[in-house]
Amino acid sequence: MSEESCPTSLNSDRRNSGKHKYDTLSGIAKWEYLDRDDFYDKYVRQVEEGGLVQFFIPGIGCASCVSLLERLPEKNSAVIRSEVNFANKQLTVTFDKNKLPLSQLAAWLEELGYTPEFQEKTTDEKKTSRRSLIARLAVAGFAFGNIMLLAFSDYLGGEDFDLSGFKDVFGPISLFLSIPVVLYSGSVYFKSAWNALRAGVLNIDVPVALGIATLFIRSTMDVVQNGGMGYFDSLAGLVFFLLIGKWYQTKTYDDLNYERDYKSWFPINVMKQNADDSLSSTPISDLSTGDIIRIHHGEIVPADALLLSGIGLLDKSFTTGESNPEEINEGEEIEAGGRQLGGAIVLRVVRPVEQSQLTSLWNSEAFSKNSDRSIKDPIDRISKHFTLAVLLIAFGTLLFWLYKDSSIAWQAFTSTLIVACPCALALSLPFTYGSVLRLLGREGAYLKNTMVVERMARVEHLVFDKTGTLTPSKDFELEFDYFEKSFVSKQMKSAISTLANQSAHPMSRAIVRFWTGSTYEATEFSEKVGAGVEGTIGEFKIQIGSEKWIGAQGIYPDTISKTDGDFQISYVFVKVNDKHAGRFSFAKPIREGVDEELKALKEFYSLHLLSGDSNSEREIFGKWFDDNAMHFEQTPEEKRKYISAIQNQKGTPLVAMVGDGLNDAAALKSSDLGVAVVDDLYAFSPSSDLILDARSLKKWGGMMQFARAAQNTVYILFGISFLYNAIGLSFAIQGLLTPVIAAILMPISSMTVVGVALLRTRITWSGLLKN
Amino acid sequence: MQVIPFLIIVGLVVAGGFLVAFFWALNDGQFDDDVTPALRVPDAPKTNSETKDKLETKK
Repeated sequence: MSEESCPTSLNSDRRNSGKHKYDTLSGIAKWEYLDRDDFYDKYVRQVEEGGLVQFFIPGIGCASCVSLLERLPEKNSAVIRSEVNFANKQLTVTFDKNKLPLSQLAAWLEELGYTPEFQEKTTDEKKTSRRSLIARLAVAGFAFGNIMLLAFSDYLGGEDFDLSGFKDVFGPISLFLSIPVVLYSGSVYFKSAWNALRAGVLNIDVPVALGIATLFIRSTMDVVQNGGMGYFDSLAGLVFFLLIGKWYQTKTYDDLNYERDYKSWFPINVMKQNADDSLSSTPISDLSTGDIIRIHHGEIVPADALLLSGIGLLDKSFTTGESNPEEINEGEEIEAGGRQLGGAIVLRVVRPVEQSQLTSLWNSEAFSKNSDRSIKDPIDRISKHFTLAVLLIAFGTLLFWLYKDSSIAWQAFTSTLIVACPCALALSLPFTYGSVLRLLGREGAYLKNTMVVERMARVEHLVFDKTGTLTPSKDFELEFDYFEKSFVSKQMKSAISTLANQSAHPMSRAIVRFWTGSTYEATEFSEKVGAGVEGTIGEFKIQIGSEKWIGAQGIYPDTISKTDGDFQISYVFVKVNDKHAGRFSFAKPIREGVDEELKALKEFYSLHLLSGDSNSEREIFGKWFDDNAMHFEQTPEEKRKYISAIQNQKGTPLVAMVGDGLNDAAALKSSDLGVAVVDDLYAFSPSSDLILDARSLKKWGGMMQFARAAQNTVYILFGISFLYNAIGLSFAIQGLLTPVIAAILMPISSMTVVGVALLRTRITWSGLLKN
Repeated sequence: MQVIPFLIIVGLVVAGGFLVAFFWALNDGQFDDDVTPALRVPDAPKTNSETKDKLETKK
């Protein structure tokens, strides 16, 4: 988030200009529900000094935000402490509720430009698990360092130096230091292996756990029976490196929570009309069938409801992708998820939130990712076979030597397990894909987990949504050509904007945004569908409409709807008091850079376009999509079917869906890779595999290439790891492996794997960035 | 040379002390957020008297 859009810098502008801009329900009313006991208890924890509450504030963007928000105690004595967590965009406030009710606190934050959101889940368990991982890492590191110091003497000791006395001491000390490493630091792996075995599966932690246990037992035996030093240095080092890998992975996932609760899409409360006609703020989870609610301009209808009074004009752009609002008459039913434009309406709830159409679509069994198609992680498969192979070789060696020469048997067995330890495998994935996740994150692409990288690498078909994905969902480029500049005064502009404000047509909305400050009420208003609107605002009689209706043929140069490059330009004309005032030109462009990207993608992938909008733009998009791969006026079900059809083709190719809008949620889920394109990262995250910042859509091809390169990196790492294992095994099964070699091979192989992973990832990344 | 095992024990005890201090810092929450403290640097008190004032108001 750039500093320019940071609320703090906007705040100073606001203060200077004296303007205030409130949305819909302004000020306190919106937050009143927070003062109810049950809500208060849900969000606020009682601590010594007062109430402790945590907000999620998407507006936090830079250091000055931190500075401002942490100074709240200076501005209001009711706030005792205020602390920001920048990475999670959280604000934790300790306050005195008697002096400052929670509703006022929230309203204050909104006024400052930091509209707060409440998270119902507490993140306490995340914190403790994070701390526990760090503690384990610290113990392993501590032990590793100290044991290594002691072990040097064993590595370097020459003949003329009698170390026997020291071995008696160093060995037990190393053993002692290793106990917490095995029992505490390494316990994660034992638990995981145990759970896997109980479920009858071999996961990658099984050989790791076996390796740790074997190392420990063998080393202990070495110390106790032979007075040796054991391999505690390898043991501690192994656990230490493994935990670093785990910590790195956790750090990467910390940044985004993907499974956003569907309910957080809607305002958490609505105005409910009680039996005695009074209004009260009610959480939507409390709504039941038959409740009467009031929805204002700009608010989202939270449940399927019947329109009782008012004019229903619903913007369903994020459910159907259609930017033209739908008119609903009194007595008709409104679906949940639409945004009401125009006046306030009174509704009766027909179906409470749980069962409304969209949630059932979303939760429907049919749309959860088909498990048959879930990529059997090839790396997972390899490690399963690998584990099995290692165990077989180890036990085979054991039996062989027990028969042939039992003195070597146990040495051969344990050194086989140690040297074949797939720790390199265990590290290659988190380090490689962890780097991928971080690097992609910096470029505006946020992946759900490492498996997404695999899918990105193997996708063959790309299905695009149009509105909101390839085209921006809000910013129409708008321009006004004056017929005669001096004619149009500032009041006239407000009046024109006010007239436009009565209408819900997207072009009218754009005009309202273009010329802000509509202050006059319209005394007359009529809309002639397909022609225009007219009305009287104050002293002005205004008409806004089509060329034909206004009678502006031939008055302005080039007044033909034309296609200019990748834009479609359309015009709307304005007359005030029967004199020509000017015309608006609207251009709906494709997102910047995306046209080139589509051209490039066409070479490698099969491209498809599915849109809920009308057929009018088929020609423009024909530049990048084959005619039979473009379909308009699609419903969510049709989109889903289309994707399934591709998936069922010969070769069961992988399909990626790149879309926007809750309606795409079903398609996103049924695809093999669901990419949600968002303009505002925090306002929108449906259940998807990847969230892509709209500005990075033009880099999508490069990102997929990068994922492929990462997959190749992992295969290379496997190769390296196998090489080490092969060399080591060849010595181990012969019983020739001395502890020194085993000790040296393992950390070296781990370090090589990590080094190559990071290096190759960086190289392929910078190579791609250059393109 | 006989002193070496003794020195090692002493070294371990001292190192152990640091490990304990680390755990204390961990439980004190000092490792929970490693991003935000860097952003607070510009607001850090610039003189000793400022620091004193800040600590007092925090109480």
